[in-house]
Amino acid sequence: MTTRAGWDSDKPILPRSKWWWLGLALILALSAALYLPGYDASLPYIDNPNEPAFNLAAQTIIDSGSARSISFDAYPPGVITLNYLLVKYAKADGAHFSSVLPLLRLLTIATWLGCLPLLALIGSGLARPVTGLLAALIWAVNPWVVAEARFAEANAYVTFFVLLSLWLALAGASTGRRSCSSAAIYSLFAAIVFKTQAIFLLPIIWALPLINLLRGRGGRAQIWRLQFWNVVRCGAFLFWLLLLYPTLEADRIPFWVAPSQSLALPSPATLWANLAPVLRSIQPLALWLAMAFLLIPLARHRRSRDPLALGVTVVAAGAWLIGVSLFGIQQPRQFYVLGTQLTLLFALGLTGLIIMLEAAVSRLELLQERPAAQKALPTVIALALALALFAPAFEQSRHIAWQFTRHDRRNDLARYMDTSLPPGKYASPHDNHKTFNRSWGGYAGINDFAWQGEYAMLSDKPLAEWRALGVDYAVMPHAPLLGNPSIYNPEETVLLKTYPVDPRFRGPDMVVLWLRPMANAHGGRLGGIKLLGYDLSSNELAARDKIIFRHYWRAETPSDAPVHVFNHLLDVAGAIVAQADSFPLFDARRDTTTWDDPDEILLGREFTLSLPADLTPGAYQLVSGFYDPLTGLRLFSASGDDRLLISEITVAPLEG
Amino acid sequence: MPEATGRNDIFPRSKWWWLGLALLLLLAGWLYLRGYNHGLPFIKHNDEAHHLLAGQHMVDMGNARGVAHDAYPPAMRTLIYLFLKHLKPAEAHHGTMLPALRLTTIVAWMLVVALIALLGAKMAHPLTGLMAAAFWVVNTWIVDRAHYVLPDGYLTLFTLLALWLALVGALHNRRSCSTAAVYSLMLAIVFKTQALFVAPIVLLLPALNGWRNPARRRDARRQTFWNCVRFAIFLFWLLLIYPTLEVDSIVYFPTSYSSIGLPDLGSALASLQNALVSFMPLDRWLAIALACGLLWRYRQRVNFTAFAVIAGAALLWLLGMSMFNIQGRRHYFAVAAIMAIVFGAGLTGLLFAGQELLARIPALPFSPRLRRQLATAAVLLLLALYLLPTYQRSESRVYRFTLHDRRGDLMRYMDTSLPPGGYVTERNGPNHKTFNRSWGGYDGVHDYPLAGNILDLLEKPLEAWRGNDAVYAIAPYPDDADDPQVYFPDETVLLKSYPPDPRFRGPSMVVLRLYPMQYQADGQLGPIRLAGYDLNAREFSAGDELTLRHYWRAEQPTTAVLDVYNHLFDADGDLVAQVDYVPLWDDRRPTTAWDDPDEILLGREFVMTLPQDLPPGVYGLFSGFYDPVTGQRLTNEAGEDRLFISDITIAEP
Repeated sequence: MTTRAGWDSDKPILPRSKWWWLGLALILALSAALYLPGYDASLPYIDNPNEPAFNLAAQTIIDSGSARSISFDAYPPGVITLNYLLVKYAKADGAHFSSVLPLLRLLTIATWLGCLPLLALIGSGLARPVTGLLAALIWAVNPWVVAEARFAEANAYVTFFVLLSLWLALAGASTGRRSCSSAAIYSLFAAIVFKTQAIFLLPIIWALPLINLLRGRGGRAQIWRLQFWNVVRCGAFLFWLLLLYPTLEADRIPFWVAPSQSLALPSPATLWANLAPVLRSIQPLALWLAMAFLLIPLARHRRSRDPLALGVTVVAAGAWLIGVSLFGIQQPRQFYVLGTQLTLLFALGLTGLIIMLEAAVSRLELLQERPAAQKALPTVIALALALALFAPAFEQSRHIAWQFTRHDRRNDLARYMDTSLPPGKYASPHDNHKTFNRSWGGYAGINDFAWQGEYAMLSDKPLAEWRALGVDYAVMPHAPLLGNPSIYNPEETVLLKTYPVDPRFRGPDMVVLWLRPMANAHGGRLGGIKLLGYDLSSNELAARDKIIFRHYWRAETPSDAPVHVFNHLLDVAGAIVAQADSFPLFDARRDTTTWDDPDEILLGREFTLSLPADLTPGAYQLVSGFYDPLTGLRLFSASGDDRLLISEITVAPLEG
Repeated sequence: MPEATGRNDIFPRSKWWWLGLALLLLLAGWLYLRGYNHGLPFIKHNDEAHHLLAGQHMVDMGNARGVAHDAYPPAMRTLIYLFLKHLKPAEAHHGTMLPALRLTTIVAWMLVVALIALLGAKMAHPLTGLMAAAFWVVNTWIVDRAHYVLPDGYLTLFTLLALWLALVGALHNRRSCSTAAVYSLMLAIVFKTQALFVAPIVLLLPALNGWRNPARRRDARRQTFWNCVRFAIFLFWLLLIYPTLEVDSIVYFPTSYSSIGLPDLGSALASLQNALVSFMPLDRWLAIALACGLLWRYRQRVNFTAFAVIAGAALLWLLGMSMFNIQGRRHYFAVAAIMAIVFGAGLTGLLFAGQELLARIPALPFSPRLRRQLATAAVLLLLALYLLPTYQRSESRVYRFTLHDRRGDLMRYMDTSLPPGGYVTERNGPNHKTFNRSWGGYDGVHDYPLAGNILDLLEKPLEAWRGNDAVYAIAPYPDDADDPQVYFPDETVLLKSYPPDPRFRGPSMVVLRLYPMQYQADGQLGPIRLAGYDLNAREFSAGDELTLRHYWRAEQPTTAVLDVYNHLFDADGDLVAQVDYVPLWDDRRPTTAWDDPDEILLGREFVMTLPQDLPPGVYGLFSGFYDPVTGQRLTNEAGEDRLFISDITIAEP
């Protein structure tokens, strides 16, 4: 029915069928089951490089008023502002700025979920209500989306606001609701502040009300007035975007994907290179051909489709593809909006199948007397086909979701090194290059472990060269060790800790090496702790000298109580002439009750024992043992000894 | 409800009204535009310099935190940022944008005049607006303020625009106007947060239609709801994203959220009084209040909705600001504008009474229309006569803006004539930032840092002046004009004087070199006289360096650019050493620009290296001027082309 100057003002904007809303609710539940598990993947280690960039930009704005110091002041401000709000108002005092990431990720997931109703609504307007549900279902199980959904990036927001803008613009154009057309413009502004590339859709959103001039619907003056005010709104927004905000200085953003010098008309090859991965993310290319054929029945059944919505979907997809391709071949993550439009077209193809089936079923005499079955059967068949088609995608998405739920061992590595090893520089390949980076890796430990600066395997340089660079540790892949245990110079390094390949964990398999050899081997044992060896500065000294030594421990099981190490220098009579006692490792947080890895070599703290000035020249013994600092009880060996002889020490007479 | 314009029009339709407004705008332009570039390149007003610097910081560093301005309402520095970023030549000083910015600000002040006229016209009678606008235009305080790039003009403009749009929206049922009013108020707030106090009126005014006309209740509620939504989004940005609540970090910011209290009627009244006396004494305002009372008699012709909205806005502003106990007049331009409208309303009461009076005199042989016009003319004439003294004061004020500021001359003089060095001046004096590139607009080649700004400069010993490596002093011109050398004449050199002169703006002052001239001299070559010189010694050894500085004085500039030559002659008159160059430290001050007969020109320091094989004996050091293009020398009346400086003795090795 048309009223008020030809508008379909009574046309419902939202589907009225309860079944439709139930279907949408089920799809939302399904997608939540795919998006939410492992939403805090890897944390506190931040795996994704963009998340810490936005976090850091927000923290820099709080600290210094602008993100220019990390060259992010020209980045579209939406996602940084969102980070800013959470870091400023939701972060606990003293907490690391990445502590807001779980909340941010939940917000982002909610936004991805918000895309589904919008897809369903646009799809419903495109052809039939079921078209929208099919589109939402296809999008919900797309592994490409599931893999992205957890990361607090701008893609969710730009996709959401573009879809909202398209839906509002279509609703405004078809029902004559000026408020919808204006809101569509504002929604697109919101998309643009998350990613500037949404600007390619601005002409479509702005021009959509004009279609009614061609259709002869609505008052011309009313339409032109709306267009005028939309031009004013766009003008004000573009004034801000281009003249106030430093958008045009985006070239200085690190790793910026759209540098102005790469701006060129895209070749067909570039367009295809950008389009193909998005198509494949939905279905193989061959199936897309079949879908194209299925669109033919829609052409015949004009009442089953809305040419305006179809045109807008196709033009929006084309504008996005061509617009983003102006900057060359881009990563698939730049094309989520294109993905939504292609998903709508795929769902439209499935709707064509339903129409074909309806035509076929209407001829079946068997069902002539069962109109309900005749009506439902084509849809059920199409839905079953869709489920069959997308079952592999669902399975893949479920696997991706499960992967996100696994514990990331880089957190274990960070905790292990922070509590067990003295601060130092380390070498690693790409996997662990930012594990100890407080800004980019989320590391919040007490001790610092600086990365040496280049992605490298230990074998890339002679060991002496690594040591000359001041590198103390190497965090290397574990897998090569299985094939060749000598690969990491076992004579010249100490294999402190291993994280072998294990499907229960996320993150790389790895080993931690101490790039110094253990000077002296030992085999003593006290309780569950074995002394593998030690380093000793010298065993021939004079009075007033210092003995510097370090133990290498291994524990079969953790001790019941935290025990400390005592180191005594005994004279021939067994009397203590010097001693140095403390907890065994560099950091007291890694006490002997947590020595829970029988394969780990625990790098003892460096003890310094000062010899008394009046120490008589002669032979002494350096012995070490464990004692409970609360009770004084000591650990014993199998033979009942409560100490291990480290070395005979000879004290020479003082010269002169 | 009666419509003030007589019909349901948004704008007055009378051509005479628009002609009157055009004349008032011309008058405002005449008062505001003259001397718009006063003082420049010296930037006198601290706030202008601060806003400019904040804008430059935004260009350079992306924020204004470096000058503790990042929490300040952003619009003023954003406007400046636009000029600095997109219009300023790359190498130019940020102060070069001030003329364009001042012109923009003056346009804003002129639009305020138009809005006062429109608001007044909406209140009672078209003439109400024009009389209010006239009262506003000639206000000396406004005329003064209009000459600076400050947010007050924009704040007043957008606040009045918001009130006018809100009134138009409510009275004429124009939703777009009610919406635009909210946006206008947002603009006012981003210039100065205090406009927030007017928000309740602007947001809720559409609800008035629902109250007046139940048939429009739904529309009115919807409009009010969306107004609130828009404003809530704005407040979300203002309070949570923009660091508005961190204003305590702004230097010299008068507001602190920690000092907020309940509205204080006493403080509000004091503020109102400050705004009122900018127009006229308080007792006269009493008369205006009585005249306003007359309006009750003519209430059918008065739009009390408009009256209530305008007066309510002033009241909210006053009470809002009283929560911070801020009474400085500069925070009340919008209130003052509303008071001007109230003044217009008072005169309108008189106008209506006059018209009624004339209409009741049967003996007058005039038509009713002519009687009305007579009454109008009489009121306008009275107003013109009343405003004449204020206009004259404003005119005098404007004249002062058109005067040349001698701090610009001082900058140029020192930059081109004196070697770089620190200077001392009075801490609270007018020259403490004359050579400050950031705050004073100085854009010279050489630097003259403030070596120490001394309180009570004249009462301090010379050693205090010389403290902090000060080379120069810029002191007030002495009261005793006959004896300008009161500033330690034996220990300093009075280089340049800027005596009191009504043709100039800025302070009268003297520039002193804080070290004495070693030797007096009085030779003359052409129009140039040698006042004295410094010489590092009179006895040297061969190979030594002789250092010489002249002190010149010129009766008039030379016609050609001349350089100085310094020659050392032996007893036979043979030249044994020489050093020639431009006479002063900087070649931008050639002898053709030696145009002040009272100035002592501080010569450059010449270093003459004596030859290693110079035999012992007595030599003569001479100086003179020559044209480096023609070689022609200056001569004196005796025909000599050089001045004897000193005998120089070369000792035995």
